[in-house]
Amino acid sequence: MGLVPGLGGASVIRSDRAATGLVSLFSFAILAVFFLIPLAFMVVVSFYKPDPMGFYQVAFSWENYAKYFSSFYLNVTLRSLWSAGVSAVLVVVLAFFAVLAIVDLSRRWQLFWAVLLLSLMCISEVIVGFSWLILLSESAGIPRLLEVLGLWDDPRSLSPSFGAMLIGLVTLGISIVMLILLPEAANRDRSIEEAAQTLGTPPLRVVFNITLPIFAPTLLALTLTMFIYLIGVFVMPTMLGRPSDWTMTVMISDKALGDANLPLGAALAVAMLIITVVVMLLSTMVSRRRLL
Amino acid sequence: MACESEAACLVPADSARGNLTMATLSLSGIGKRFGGHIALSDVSLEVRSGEFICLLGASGCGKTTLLRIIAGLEQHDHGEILLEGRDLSAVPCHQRNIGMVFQSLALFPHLNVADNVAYGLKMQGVDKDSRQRRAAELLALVGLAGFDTRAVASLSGGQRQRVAIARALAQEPQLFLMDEPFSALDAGLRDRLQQEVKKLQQALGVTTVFVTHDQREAMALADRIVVLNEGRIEQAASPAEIYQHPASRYVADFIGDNNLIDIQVSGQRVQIGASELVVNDAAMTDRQGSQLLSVRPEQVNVSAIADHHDGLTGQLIMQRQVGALVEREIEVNGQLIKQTCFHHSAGGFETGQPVAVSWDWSRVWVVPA
Amino acid sequence: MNLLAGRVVLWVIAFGIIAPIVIIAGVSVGASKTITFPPTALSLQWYQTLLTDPDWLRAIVTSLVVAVLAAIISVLLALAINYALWRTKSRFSKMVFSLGLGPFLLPPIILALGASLFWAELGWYGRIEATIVSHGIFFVTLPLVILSRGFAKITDEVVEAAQLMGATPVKLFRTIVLPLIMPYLLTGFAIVAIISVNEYLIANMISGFVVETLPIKIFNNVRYGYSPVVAAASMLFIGITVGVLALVARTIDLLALLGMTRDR
Repeated sequence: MGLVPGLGGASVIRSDRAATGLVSLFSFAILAVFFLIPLAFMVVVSFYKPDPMGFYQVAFSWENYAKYFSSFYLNVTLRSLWSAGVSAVLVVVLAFFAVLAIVDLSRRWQLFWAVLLLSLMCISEVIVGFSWLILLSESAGIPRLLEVLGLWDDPRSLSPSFGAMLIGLVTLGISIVMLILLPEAANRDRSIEEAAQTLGTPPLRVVFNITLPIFAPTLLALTLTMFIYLIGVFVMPTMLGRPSDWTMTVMISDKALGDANLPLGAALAVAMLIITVVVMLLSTMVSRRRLL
Repeated sequence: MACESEAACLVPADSARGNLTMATLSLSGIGKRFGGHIALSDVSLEVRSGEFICLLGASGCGKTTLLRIIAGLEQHDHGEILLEGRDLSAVPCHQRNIGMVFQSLALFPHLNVADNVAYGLKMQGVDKDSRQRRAAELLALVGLAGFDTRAVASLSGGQRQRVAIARALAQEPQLFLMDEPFSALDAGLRDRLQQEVKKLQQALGVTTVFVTHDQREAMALADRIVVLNEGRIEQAASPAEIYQHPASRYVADFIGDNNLIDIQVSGQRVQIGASELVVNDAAMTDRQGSQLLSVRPEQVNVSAIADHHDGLTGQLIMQRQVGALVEREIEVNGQLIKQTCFHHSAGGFETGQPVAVSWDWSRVWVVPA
Repeated sequence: MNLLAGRVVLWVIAFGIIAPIVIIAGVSVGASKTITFPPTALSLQWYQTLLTDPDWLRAIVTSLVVAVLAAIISVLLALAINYALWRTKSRFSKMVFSLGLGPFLLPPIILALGASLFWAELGWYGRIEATIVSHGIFFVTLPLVILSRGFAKITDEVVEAAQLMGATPVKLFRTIVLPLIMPYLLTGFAIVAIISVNEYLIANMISGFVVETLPIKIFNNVRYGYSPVVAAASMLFIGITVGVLALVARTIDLLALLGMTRDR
């Protein structure tokens, strides 16, 4: 600071403003170059023509989108929406009841669950998929267990199947949803439920009459968030699902790496981006207007 | 308890009015631990039908725990709760037929005002028309006529308070429980709601247990105050009795301003510190030996020291005027004695001046050991 | 409320999380060359293979290098964005903050494809730097949110007091801000490192054929006929993840960080 506090202070503040402005601008530039530009470039590529020899030819054509609207890719899209939707609902419903139970446990068990869930959230989806693959296999998993117990004479692997894929997707999503719901459930005003009890509501009805309606907006927003997350999962459909269960994500990756048809892959990704944005807008509308 | 005639619902049933002497709620030997912490030990209390009881105590004294045990929201470890002769110990909360107002009010945020009030009736299977009529009546009773379809979030603090009270009373509870319902309100609104609750309670004749840490509130509302300390009942008596005749050192110290003075009584001689006085009051010298004297600040007289003074003397340490009152502190034998009196009868004394201190021995109180 | 339904769901979920891990652990210490459970004989040979086979070792090293460098990029970026927002609270810095939330809201496949096209066009396809930078940028969201909680705790009064005692912005940052947010910085670093080490899709799409990280190696192994080494690798992973989390839980109140208050 200068000898004259007023003047020195003002100039320090001004140069400080400029410096923080530069920091802001710099971080924006980084995000723009490595996050926004790749997305924009992907949209551009979706109008290019595929090159059987290499990546793509610069062009402007609607050919890729025309292909997308052929029934095969539309079917894949619908299938993806279905599997992501079913698993998102399953995740949120299971997580809701589980979290209500966790917050009533002792603090030590709550910590146990927090670490367990954080671990699950962090563990690679490859490993989660792999572990379910083993657990559902005839040589080492549940079918083998049932055989040993004499409950299943002719055990067969339970994967790949739609159910196995759903289990995989639910395992991926549930840790995130539970970790988001935990603080909300722990910090909720319990006396609202107690009031319902004093007014003659049996405990189970309290959950459905009071807790569930109060949580409904949160749960709906979470379902939509999960939907977006699960529609983009690659490992579970490929590891645990049948080819007929493969989702848009698998197709995109396949076009990009397998068939080397990057423009078509980009068009599929743009379609998915649009679906994502629509769902996100819905989600904001839910949380803004409290539709329920 | 289905209501045949809707209008009659607000009037207490004859049976309840007839047995004023019979205890409606009877607690005996209630004990409760949370881990290693003893929340309540051996609490026994008889509450008469239609009585207004205040559970009073500092935070952590067990008053809310006791209320929650009565409500069935907490299970007691031992002891017995009888409500009109019926043992409640094994009855779950939702079958106890009690109305409760929570500290946070706990209104249902997803229901409108009328649906909040009618919720308990819906649980009892009362049909929709009767429910709505009853809700409208109760809202009118608490001064919220016409608020039926309003959202709870759109109400002011006082209005929410009234909705919570109406909701708790809608199903004609046998017991009305309130857990510091007014602690979040400003002083003016709190005073008004206290008066309204008292009037409502008297009109309905419903047996009420009210938890508070505010002794002013307890004095204003209660027929009987139950002072709790560290999980035990220190005293259960009328507000006047609690103030004039505190049953223990804790109550004497906790309720109101007080001078607690250690005295030594032998014969008619009372020793206070270095001073010894002769007291001609039979009730006073009834108990001999080491005693605790409770002298309210307004019972203390301060005067100039006369020539042949043989009473207590002290030095005026501090004095200040607070509105119509004068508050003083006088150091007597190393102990500070508080005095309050009206300004017009205070007399003029200089701070630092020696003064004579006295009180009417027939009005002060020896705290039972 | 002791809800039976909740308890049952809880046990099912606990089973779903723990059972697969138990099975993987069993397979990893089994002597058999095929995947069987329960193991017929015990052996640590698969761990030995994992830590001696140059292919697996290279994957482990690659993963760790990517994770550490990506976490540094991520945390620095999150710090810059949060610092600017905290100092100025300007609309632009708020916008940059929301932009930083973006990558977490999009399905990773979209990010992966965009990044893969972008790096290919730049001619960086197959370079480890591409994987590092993309991981660093795409995982910025979590440290961004974690750090914002740390910055929220630095009150204006503390800053003003420091300024009155003559701290310049640089000194203020070094002596007040940095020490106060250090736990959040470390937590953010740990979380990005964990996510990066475990991430498959983006790493694979950007330069998977050349820069083979551990998840890519595991996935390829599973897909094209797998051996129990995969189980050993998975156990190593789970060990690292849980270990780091336990360390984090010791330095910072995990439940409070998750937003669960202490009293209940």
